[in-house]
Order: sequence, then C-alpha cells, then structure tokens
Amino acid sequence: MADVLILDWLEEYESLTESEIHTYSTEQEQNYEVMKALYAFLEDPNKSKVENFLDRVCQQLFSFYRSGEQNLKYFTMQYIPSLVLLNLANTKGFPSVGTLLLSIYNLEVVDNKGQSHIISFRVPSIAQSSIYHDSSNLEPAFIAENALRRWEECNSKLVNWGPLPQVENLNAQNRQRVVTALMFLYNQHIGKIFVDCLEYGCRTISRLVSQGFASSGSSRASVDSDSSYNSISHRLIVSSPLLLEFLHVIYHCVVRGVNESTHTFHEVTRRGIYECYPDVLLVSHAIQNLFHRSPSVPVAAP
Amino acid sequence: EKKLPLRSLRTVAESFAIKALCNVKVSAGPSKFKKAEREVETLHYFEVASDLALLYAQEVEKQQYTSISSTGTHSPQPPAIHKTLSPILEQALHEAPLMLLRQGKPFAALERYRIILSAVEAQTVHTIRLKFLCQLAELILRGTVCDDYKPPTMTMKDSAWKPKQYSSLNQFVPRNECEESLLVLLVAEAMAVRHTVLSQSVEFKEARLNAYRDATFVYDLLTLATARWGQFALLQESFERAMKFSFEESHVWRQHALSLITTGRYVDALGIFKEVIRLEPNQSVNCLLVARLCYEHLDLPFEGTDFSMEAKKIEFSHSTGLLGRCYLYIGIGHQLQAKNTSVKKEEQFNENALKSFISALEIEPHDHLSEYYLGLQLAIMGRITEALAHVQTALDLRYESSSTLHLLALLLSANSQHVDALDVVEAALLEYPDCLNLMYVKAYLELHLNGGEKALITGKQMLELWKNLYEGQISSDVPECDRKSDTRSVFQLYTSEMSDKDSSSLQAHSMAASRVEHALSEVASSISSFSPRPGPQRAWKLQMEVWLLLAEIYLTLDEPAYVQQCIQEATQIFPLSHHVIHMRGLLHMYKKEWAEAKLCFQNAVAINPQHIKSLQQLGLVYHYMGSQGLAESTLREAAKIDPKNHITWYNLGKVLEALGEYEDASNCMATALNVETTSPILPFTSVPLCFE
Repeated sequence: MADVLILDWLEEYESLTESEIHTYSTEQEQNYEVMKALYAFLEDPNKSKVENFLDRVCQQLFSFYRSGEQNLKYFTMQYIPSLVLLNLANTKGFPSVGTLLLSIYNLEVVDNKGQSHIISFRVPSIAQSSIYHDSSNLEPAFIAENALRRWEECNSKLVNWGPLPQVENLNAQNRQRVVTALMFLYNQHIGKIFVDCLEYGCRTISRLVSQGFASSGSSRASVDSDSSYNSISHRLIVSSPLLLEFLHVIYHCVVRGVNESTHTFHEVTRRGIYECYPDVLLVSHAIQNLFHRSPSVPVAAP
Repeated sequence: EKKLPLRSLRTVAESFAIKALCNVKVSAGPSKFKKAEREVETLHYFEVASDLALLYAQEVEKQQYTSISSTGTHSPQPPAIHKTLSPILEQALHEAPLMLLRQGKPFAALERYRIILSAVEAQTVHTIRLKFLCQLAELILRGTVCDDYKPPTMTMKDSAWKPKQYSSLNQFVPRNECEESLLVLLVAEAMAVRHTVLSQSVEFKEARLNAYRDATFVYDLLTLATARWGQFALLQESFERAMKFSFEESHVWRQHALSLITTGRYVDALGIFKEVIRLEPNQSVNCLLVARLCYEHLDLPFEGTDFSMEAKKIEFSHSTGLLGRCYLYIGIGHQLQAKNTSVKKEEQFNENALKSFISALEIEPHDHLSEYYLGLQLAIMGRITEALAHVQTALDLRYESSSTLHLLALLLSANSQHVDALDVVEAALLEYPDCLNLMYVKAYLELHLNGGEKALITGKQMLELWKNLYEGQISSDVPECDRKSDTRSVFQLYTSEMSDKDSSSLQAHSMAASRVEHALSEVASSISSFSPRPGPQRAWKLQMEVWLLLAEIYLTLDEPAYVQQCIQEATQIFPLSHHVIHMRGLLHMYKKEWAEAKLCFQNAVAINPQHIKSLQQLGLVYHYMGSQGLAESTLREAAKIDPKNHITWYNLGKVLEALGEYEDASNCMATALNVETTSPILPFTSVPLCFE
C-alpha cells in the first residue's frame, strides 16, 4: 500500500514539465499521505520489495532539494533525521543515503555564488548601551573587564558557523561533523515543519540515541543477546555537538506539544549522562528546569 | 493625540485598556468577518493602552525626581518609589503580545515585545520588563520565527502618546536572532541579579526563592542560547556572578561546574564539583564526570579512582543504570595508576583493573568501550591472544573507533603479524585520514617491514598533515571555541586523540618529566635568546615528535647529515626535551662518539629518570666504554622500571657476557627472546586515552 503511494509520487514528479513544478510544489505541502508513507519506508527500507526503491527515493528527494522551490526543499529537509539514522546505523549499507546526505551538505556549505556559507554574529556586551538598555544604569559588577573586552571585540571577533569544508566522501572522521551540520540546518527551518512530521523526527532521535541500550525501565544496562534486539542493533556513535542539536529539536517540539517529545528528551539526556558530555548535560539540565515552569509564552498555532 | 497631563494620561490609558478587555469578553456574534474585525480593534486598543501605560510610568518617575530636586531633600538616598501600575494597565501590557501569539502571529508579537522593551525603563514596570525580556528570548530560541525573522529597526514616529525610547550614541542594534536573544538575556540577567536577595534569614525566604527562580530562568535560557554556539565563556561568567545568591542551590552550582569544564578550567571545576557532590548525594553522574576530568585533564588517576568508587557506592543505593560505567572508570583509574608505579604495585593495579573491566562487561555485555579496555589491559599484561579476542569483539560492537583499531594493529605486531598490522593501520587511515597517531604506527611498521624508504614517505606525509592541521591555528589567533568552524574540529582532534602529553612518544608520558622540561625551558628563555614558539604548545610538541621520527628513519638509512638537520629542527622547538637529547645521543652512538653519547643519555635520564630507552642506550655506551659494572647497574635499573622490554634484557645479556657471567647472560638472552614474542612495535600505553 505504502509502496504504491510512493511509486505514484515518484512517477508523478518524473512526468512533470518544468513549468508545472511550481504549482506542484505548493501541493506537496498538503501531501500528508505520501509524507507518512515515506517516513514508514525510511524507517526500514529493507522491508520494501521494489527494486532500487531507496535509490529512486533518494534521487527524487535530492532533486526536490535543489529544485529551487522552497516548499520542495522543506519537504526533503524534514527527512534529515531519518536519513541520518539510516546512515549512522548502517554506514556501508545504504550508499544512496550517504550520497544524498553528502550532496545536501555540499550544497549547503557554499552559497549560490560559490562562496563558503557562513552564519556569523556579534556577541553583544552588556557594557555597551543597546536598544533595550542603558549601560550607565548598570551595577559595577557587570561592567567588569570581560564585558569591556567583549565590547571592544564586538565588531571584530564574530561567532561563526562555517566555513565548513567540502567533503568528498563520508568516513569515520568526518561523519559526525557532516550529520551535525545537517541537523543544524534542520533546526534552522524547524518552524516550517509540521507537528506530525516532528513526531516522526522525535521518534527517530529516540531510536538513534537509545539503540543498543535496554529500552525498558530506568536501568541503562545493555540488552541481553537473546532478547528481542538482534546483534545488528549496536550502539550508534553520537558526538556531543550532535546531541546538542537534538536537544534544540526537542526543545522546539515540546513547546509545540509534539507527542513523545518529553520521552525523547529523557532518552537524549540519558545518553548524555552515559557518555559524560558536560555540554550536553548543561543544556539538558537547563531544558529540564525550563519545563518545570509552566510555559510563559503560549504556543503559536502551526 | 496631543500631550496630556499626568492624571488624564492615566485615565485615557485605563479606558483604552478597559475597552479592550471588554471587547475580549463580549462575543462578537457568529460572523467570521465581524470576529476578525473585532480582534483587530481589540489589539489596537491593547497597543495604545500599553504605550500609554509605559509613558505614564515614565512621566510619574520624572515628576517625582523633579519634585524632589525642587523642594530639596536632606536624605542622600533617593526615595523609594513604591507606586506600581494599576492592575488593569498591567494586564493590558501582558495581553497585547499574548493575543498576537494566540492568533499565530509570532513575528507581530516579536515586534510588540520590542516596542515595549525599547521604552526607557521606569521602576514601576520592572517586573513586567524582566518577564518580557525572558518571553522575547524564549520566542526567539524556540525557533518559531526562524525564517521570518527580521532584525529590529527602531524608527518610531515621534508622538506625544508614545513612550520615550532608549537612544544613545553608538547603540548596539542586533542584526540577527542570535544577537538579539543574547542581548535580551544579558539585559535580563543584569535586571534579575539586581533584585536577588542575599539574606538567608527566614523572613525573606519567599522573596529570595522568587528572585532566585527568576534568575535561574534567565540562566537556563542563556544556556540554551550560548551552548550551541560554543560560547561557554560568556555563560561561565554569568554563573560565576550567580554564585553569590545561590547558597546551597544545587542547580546553579552544578551548571557552574559544568560550564567550567566546557571552558577548560578543570582545576576550578574540580573544586566546585566537590561541592556539587555534597549537595546532590544521589547523583552518581557527578562523580563520574569528576573522575573523567581527573583522568583526562588533571593527571590525577588516584583521585579519579576514588571518585569512581564513590559513584559505584551511590549506584548501589540509588541506581541510575550507570553501574557498568562505574566499574569501567574504576578500571581505567587502576590502569593509569599502574603506569606510574613500581613493578610490585603495578601487578596489583593491573589485577584490579582487569577485575573491574570484567565486572563492567558482566553488567553491560554490549559496551564496546569496556571490551576495548579489557583488551588493552590484557595486552599490557602480556596476554596477547585473549586481548585479540576482546579487541575483535569491541570492533564488532563498534567498528569505527580509532583507538580500538590502533590497539589491534599493535596487538598484531606483538603477535609478529606485521603485515596484517600494516593492513589494519592502512584501512584505519582510510577512515581517519588525519590521525597522526595511526600514521606514527604506520611509519614504524614500514620501518620494520620495508625499511626506511617507505617509512620516510609516511614521515613526510605526517609533516605535511601537521602543516595542514595546525598551521592555521599557530599563525592567527583563531578562537579555540569556534565550535562550528573547522579549526574547532581540529582542536577537538588533538584534545581527544592527542590528549596524552607525549601521546606519540614511545614511552608512557611522565608528568614529572614534562614539568622539569617546562621549568628548564623557562630558565633557558631567561638566560639565552631562546623563546618558545607562539601558539598552542601541544601542536609544536607534535611537530617535534615528527622530526624525531624522521631523524630515526634517516638513522636507519645511514644519512647522518639529515639526522643532524632533523634534530636541529626539533631542537628549535623544544631544546630541552629529553626525547631530543636522546636522539642526539643516538646520533653520537652512530658516529661512535661514546663520550658525547654518554653525556646526552645522562642528561636525558636526568630529566626523566623513567626514560627506558635512554637507560638502555646508556648501558650500552658504558659497555662500549668498558665500564661493565656501571652498564650492568644501569640496565638492571631499566629492567626494574619495565621488565617486559626485550632490548633491556638483550643489552644486559651482552654486558653480562662481557663480564664473563655466561650463565646469567644466557638467562637474560632467553628472557629477551621470551619477552620479545609479546612485544608490540610501540608500547601499548602509547594508545591515547579514550572515552568514546
């Protein structure tokens, strides 16, 4: 059933002429059935019997991404967590997934003029008056050496995302960096993703961080080999920057009331604790504390 | 809209507010169009009401100050102004942005917040302002406005009904959402801290807790805003300011300790964490974090083991599923302690480490790290076949681990399967093309298998790689905390993979030796023209190691001139390193200049009495110079430090032979042969410490 839906979706796009793409892209936004079918398919691509299915899907997702239509780009973007999971769980198994991720990454590290894509910002200093405050009313403790130094560096020392290097092929050394960059992009546009799709995203993240660990109860002990897990589901590598991106996804999801997002939050926190990542713990404690307060800003309807 | 006197200002503001509030209550009938119209109207009323309310607050404050200055007061303190806004006005202020948010217009709400916050603060609206600052930050951090974000443009039309706005020369105007969220939170922090209560007495308890809660709210948001961008230094400063009002509050203490780790202030972090452990007696993770800190950065294996034991104790009473980790960390602690003790104690530590790793695996049979450490422990204890089996399992569990592959290569070399070892290293280098440690092993394997020519190529590649990786860091002062940039990833590379101070040297690193070297180089720089190279010293140290490797390769190629040049390069980086001095000694040995060689090795041993290779060579030099007694005692000293080194035994055999003690000599030679079958090409301890 799901396969048929996806097949139709593939064929429909192939039959489009260039002038029709724009209208097509506006329709894709409502194409919930296909979205769900694709999520189900990406959860376990081996289940499908159609030949080269994954390759074709990946190809189409990539042509969506580079079509120049913002809606089609978002359509592909929402699958980034699923694709990341597939790639991390089976680094050699699905070459087309790796290629797709790598292509998106390489597209994104340069802007349309071929220059490195850099997101940068200045670190504001409390010592400099701003549109929201007047520094002359501050307590002396805040105009300490560091604040003044930061003021001085404000315009010269920027915080940067990028420039990221182009990557020719994924290997153990750069894989985490590439998928973290992709999750960062996912986070940049997370406001555009539907609540239902975020739910799939959360579920994917849960699986990614907890695979290979016992799933039930509070115990973090490893699974027995004779339990329902088979030997294939080994633990996946997650670097601390990647977990930080996950935490930002989850923060957004909880605010928007996505099902399972709190569960996912606990899974990610547990993994952070298990790995003893100080930065991840810092953020997850903060988020936990924020959740204890009732939300002070209501949620905008999606 | 004309200028109103104070009293009517308030009246007008309140009437607008009441009108808006009434509008909300009254249902607008079934028509959708009507309803929308009514909503727009209500919103407008709310906005006018809140503008007027702010204006009123400002005017009241102004008037009070002028009345004071005109009548004159004898009190040096400004009088406290206790007037607050009327509840209706406060509600109107709150409702305006909330209504927009409920309607799904986050961007318009953002604008509304900005208008309210850019009005000059009057004391009466202090609490509302703080709340709004947090709400604005929350709104941005949630990512709901992500693509529609536009930076604030402060061009308000001047009107008698608008509040006065902040304006000064050289004002900071945020240009994107990161800047705005950080700015807002910094302002909020300053406000929240100003109103915290330091007194611990009971009567202020409620006020203190409320203020503390407001402040932690700001800190939590600040954590979210900074962590992703690696701006931990900013966060850490804020937490430091928070300490004064966070007596016995574990949350802020813990966050401060964590932020200290992320900014690399490990010693301070250790101190704060001790307090956190006291405040949170049921959290084993704190102990584990400290343990890791001790192992990885502070070189305190003994304390680290203690903390791991404590974590284990906590796990038994308050299980959080980290028991396996506790055993693993205890094991690592014992393993590290075994490195730095005498032979007798070493055995005890090794046994303990082995037991701990086995317990860890019993609890978590699928943990690749425990498998790896068990393999490493068995390897150190000379049980090569068993070690190989465990390393294999570790690789089955996680095949992308540079340390495990590194260990596998060494194990294969210990098993005399050098060709296989080289294959493993080459395969590993495909996955980790920038790993200098693996390249180092490769060079040694090639030196052993194919002679110097091939190893030379690898050595030169290493030099090139070093240039690619570190030159950027050394020439410019790129901030090390640039999380997303490539320099950072390189930085991570050498903190995680090159964490050992001498990680690519042949012997286990000795903290004492590097301290001596450091002190000596300080003296040297004060009395001579030598000055240490700028930039991170670890990077330079790596370059030195590469030069020494090249020198060693050239030595086997019979090119003493090149050896001399390589040593020269290394000397320019660290003239007083015992590795450099050792290499110089080797060159003198090659040229058969015994007296100079002796001096070099003696110097090297003086800096690092544990340096086996220098002791071995010193023994040989004594042997060639005819002082067999000295040679014997030197070599016995070396054997005491590391009884599993075949070169020591072989040299000792030679010396004893010269002394005419043939039986002992043959025993030594036999030991050498025996030990050699389990000797890897580089010591197992040269695999860098890893936690992932």
